[in-house]
Amino acid sequence: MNIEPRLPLDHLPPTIAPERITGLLTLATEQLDNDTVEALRRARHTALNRQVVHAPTFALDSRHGLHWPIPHTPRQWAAAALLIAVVAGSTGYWQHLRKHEMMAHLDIAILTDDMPLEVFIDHRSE
Amino acid sequence: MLPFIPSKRSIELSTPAELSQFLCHAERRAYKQALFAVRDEHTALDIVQDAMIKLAEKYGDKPADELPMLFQRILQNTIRDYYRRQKVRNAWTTLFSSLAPKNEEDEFDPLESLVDDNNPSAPPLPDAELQQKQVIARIERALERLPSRQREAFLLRYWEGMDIIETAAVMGCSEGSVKTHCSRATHALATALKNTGVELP
Repeated sequence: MNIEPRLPLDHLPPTIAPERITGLLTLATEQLDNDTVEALRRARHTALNRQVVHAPTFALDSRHGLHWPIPHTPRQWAAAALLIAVVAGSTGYWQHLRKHEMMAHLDIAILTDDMPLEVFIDHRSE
Repeated sequence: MLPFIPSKRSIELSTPAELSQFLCHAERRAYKQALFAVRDEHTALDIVQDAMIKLAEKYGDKPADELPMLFQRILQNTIRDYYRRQKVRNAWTTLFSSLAPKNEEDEFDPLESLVDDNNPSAPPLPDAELQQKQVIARIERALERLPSRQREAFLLRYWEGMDIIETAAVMGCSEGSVKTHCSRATHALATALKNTGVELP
């Protein structure tokens, strides 16, 4: 029992076993009248009818081999489209940066007259 | 937003059957908890139904072992919402009528204000079942008169079987506060029951 005996009481307080009280409270729940029990049952059914069960997104069934993860709901399709757009955008941006970096290196080489010798060789004359 | 509750089986989501089983198991205690808090049967039923619906709609697919704490958190919040609405309603009523009851929602210490409604010197009833019902009624009355936070801590800790950490998470307070509330509730109940002639070992 995790009860701290520290109390702002100047006299010794009476003691009681919480388990005895909760035992009687549980007994009282079994003695609820029929109307209340029926109302609780109706409330439970109302709640269960509104239960939302989310299907796992992109689930792979390992029991029957690896299946291609195909979206089934509009929400999954939207998530898939967003994912594809992000991947495509990222790839394009990365390629743009790479090209820009290559051009910058070439400009620097031209300005500093540090071009490789192969640039000055006329390959057509060979 | 409810706090994340770690779970050993966090991958296994609850099925409709598991939620149904949980609600079936918890609904009567939840009703009693609400009844102790609001002291009105219809309101208590409404509160329990609201809590059940919120659990099913928002957390119906959570792992089954997270449902008790989630449900208790929702239930206690729904009870507090009712208190807030009542407070606002009482404030408006007080404005228009001086006959409105004062401090109806205020907490008070049963150690200071508990009045013995029943005659403790009355002889015990011969019928054991009737006597038991009388004891239960006195316990329930004493619980109703407890300050709400003490009652909440006592019921969560001892009736719902939650540990101190879980109780603190549901109540949104520190573990030390839970210990204090539980201790005071236990002694207040003992005093109240002793004053009404109920002796529990």
